[in-house]
Amino acid sequence: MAGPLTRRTLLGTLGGVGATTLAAGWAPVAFPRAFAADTKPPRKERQWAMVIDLRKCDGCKKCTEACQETHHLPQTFEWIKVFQVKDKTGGQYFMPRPCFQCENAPCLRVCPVAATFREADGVVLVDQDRCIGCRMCMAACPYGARYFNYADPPKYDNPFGKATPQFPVPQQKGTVGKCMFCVHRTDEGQLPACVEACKMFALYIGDLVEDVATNGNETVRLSTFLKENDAFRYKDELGTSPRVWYIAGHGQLLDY
Amino acid sequence: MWPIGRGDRNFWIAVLVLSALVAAGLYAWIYQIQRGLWVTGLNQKVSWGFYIINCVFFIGMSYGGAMTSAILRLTNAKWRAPLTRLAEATAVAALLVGAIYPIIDMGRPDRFLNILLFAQVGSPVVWDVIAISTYMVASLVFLYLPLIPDLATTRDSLRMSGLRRVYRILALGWKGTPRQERSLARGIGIMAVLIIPLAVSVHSVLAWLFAVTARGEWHSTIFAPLFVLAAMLSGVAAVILVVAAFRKVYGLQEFITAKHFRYLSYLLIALDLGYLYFMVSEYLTEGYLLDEATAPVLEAIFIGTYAPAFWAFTIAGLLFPLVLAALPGRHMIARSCIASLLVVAGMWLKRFLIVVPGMAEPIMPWDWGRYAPSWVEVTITIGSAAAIPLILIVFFRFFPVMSVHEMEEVEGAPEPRGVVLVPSFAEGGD
Amino acid sequence: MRGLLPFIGAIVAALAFIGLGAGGILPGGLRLHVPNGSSAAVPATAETRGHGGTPAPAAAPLSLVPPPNGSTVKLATQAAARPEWGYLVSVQVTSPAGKPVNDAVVRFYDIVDFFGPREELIGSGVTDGQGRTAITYLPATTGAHQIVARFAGRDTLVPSFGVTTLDATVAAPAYELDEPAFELFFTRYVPYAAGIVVLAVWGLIAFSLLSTARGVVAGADTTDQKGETA
Repeated sequence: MAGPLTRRTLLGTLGGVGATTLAAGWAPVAFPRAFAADTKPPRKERQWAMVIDLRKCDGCKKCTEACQETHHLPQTFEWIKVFQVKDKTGGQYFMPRPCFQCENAPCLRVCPVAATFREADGVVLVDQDRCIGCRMCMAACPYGARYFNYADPPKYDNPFGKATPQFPVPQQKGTVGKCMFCVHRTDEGQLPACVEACKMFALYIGDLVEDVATNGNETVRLSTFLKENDAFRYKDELGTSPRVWYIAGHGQLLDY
Repeated sequence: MWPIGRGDRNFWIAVLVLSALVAAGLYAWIYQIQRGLWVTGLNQKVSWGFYIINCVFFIGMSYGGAMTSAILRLTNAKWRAPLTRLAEATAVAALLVGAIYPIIDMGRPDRFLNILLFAQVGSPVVWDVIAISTYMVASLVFLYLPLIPDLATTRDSLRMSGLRRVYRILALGWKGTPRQERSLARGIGIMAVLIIPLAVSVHSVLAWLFAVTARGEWHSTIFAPLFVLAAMLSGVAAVILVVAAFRKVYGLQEFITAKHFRYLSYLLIALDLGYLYFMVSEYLTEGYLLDEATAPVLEAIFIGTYAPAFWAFTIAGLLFPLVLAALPGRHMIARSCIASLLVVAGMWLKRFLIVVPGMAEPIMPWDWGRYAPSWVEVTITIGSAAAIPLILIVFFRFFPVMSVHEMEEVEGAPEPRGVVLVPSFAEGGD
Repeated sequence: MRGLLPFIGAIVAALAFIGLGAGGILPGGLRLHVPNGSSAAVPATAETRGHGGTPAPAAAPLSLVPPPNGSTVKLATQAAARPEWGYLVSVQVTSPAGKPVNDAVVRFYDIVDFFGPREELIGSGVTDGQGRTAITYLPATTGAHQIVARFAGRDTLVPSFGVTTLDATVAAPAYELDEPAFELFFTRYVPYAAGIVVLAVWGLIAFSLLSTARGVVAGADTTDQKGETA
């Protein structure tokens, strides 16, 4: 650079560098969700999935109760909801529906503030500190898996400090909540509350990386389990790529 | 502060009544903010209700400005001259009211800034915010620019020096010189061209809020054109009503005649027919195939729970006004007013029919959702509906009800007289 | 006035019709929803479950000591005939007396650390006349895998098992997330392009307003004026 270093040049350069740093640093702070959702997970430790064996579910709803207890939810919040479905032959069966943690989640796409985001292990979480309560995600979810806190949730003093997206307890009024595959438990090596509570062992928690799934009692190879039992995903023609598989079968006896 | 013209008892009565209604709406809103959205009739299945309906409805009503002012200007329809100010003001008033509704609907309105700070470009909500704010600014500019010459004219007949100063600043020293005329014409021309695609974009974006979801009633490709046409229809109907009201109250019979109403009715008829065509196209396409996604909703709308609302809307809100407006003969103004009233009411019903069955439809193997509004939602609706005539009455207390400048520039228009330049709440016979 | 009567009648009829329609939109007629703010809480009986603050206790390692008087289950691993099949895990079951056990159901497990150590079922087979059976196994991850073959027992033979370590250098292809590239088209690229258009529109609005203002203000100075309209 020719010429002496004038004050103007110095100030200009420093100002430029400062402004650039500020701008570069501001973006990930202001858009952490966008940045997180953008990049692929650096190392694939777990990619959580669930398998639900409809042959075994008896509609007792202990999974719903366990989830509500664990997260201190009001009665109207059924993050895992058990549907009673009439099949075409006139019989009926029960279908538990957690959040499907879709890989191509519509709720993620439509959130205006990226309060809904996906973690590296594939679980879709809600940051209730950022959610503005527009409920666009509830309109977009094809499975009705999201619940809005119209009122204050039951009082609960979280002894572990502030509520986090991984453990959003207590829920915040005016924001949206949903099943998060109990990442606060799975991160510590505990089964999700619903999987543990199911006395029919119909709910399996699985990992697509290690290709394994367990219902607390038996452990199976996930891909083989799905293939051998003709597992299907609900409404996956919508292109959502859900992480929950169902094994169909209505009341058939199993010889284990 | 005294109004420009002579104070009138009817004016104050109207303002008081409307303000009371608006205040009731505000009270209901504050009540809701304090307690939370549980005070509404919304639930986990139907999580969008009256507020979203009203948002679409009022923003739709603002399309009268784009239609009358912009499109008629660009097509050089001379008969529009006495109507443009009324149309543009209605557009701004309706838009102001409609744009508040997303905030009323939010669960955490205190976090409204998050939309700006963390805006996600893929979200239809963000598109909505951008489109509405752009359209609002454009409408305000489009209202202001033709107002400049009138501000200059009225400024001199004002008694109050304070108000006079405001007018003088806003009038920017307009004197009517050729150079000023050219600047103004260019500015208005740009805005007239801009406001049409902006208007189209706003309701398209509102439509996409629904259409990009996987709900049977909503996921339809025709939603954007349908919404735009619906908005234009309700906008023209709103303009007819506002023009008729102000014509009577301000005694503008000389300037706004049955001819204007006939031409506006032609617009109404054309848009009505277009809307019917879009409706038939959508329902025929879905109803012929009746796949799993759309069959339950179609059934509910045509013969089920929502059938009374749907047929009321179609027959009383679309077909009957068509006949009424198209009939030749006398009482053109009365007929077009009735038709417009029915169209506006019908359009609200249609927005209801879009939002509620779409939310209530069984997307999972469960029963249909149910929704009934609570007093909070109804009160806020009434308050917001009252806000529009209130804004208009107050606005035209201060600004001329017809664009003198535009009437001059369009040949063949009658010479505007003093009663127009000095806005007041005159009583006139029919 | 009389001429307006039919129209008034029409209004009344139409409004009545719409009123019916409005009545029809509310289930149960024109009754409003009466909200109540009670969020009935789930009765809190159990203690706070799982924030996961306390990690699961380290599970006791699976007892891998075969019963003393059980059959011998001898495991061996080798590369399978085709590389995409992974490894061949073969087993031979001999009774305590040293005779091969035929028609024995043998289940193969891989020991995984998944919410504690667990045995993941990877296959099963029935022994032939020489007491042998085998499965192919392509593990999901490379590295050391402890394979357990369990013989469920039959007649007088008690259940028994054998263990071996498989050092896998081949594994099944890693799991791939479903992220269609086209997904970004309408959620990123088109909105950004539209954003540029929006900026241009804002610029045009500003230009329209400001240039008009400037032109009007500047044009006020010219001498050739039009008189103010009365």
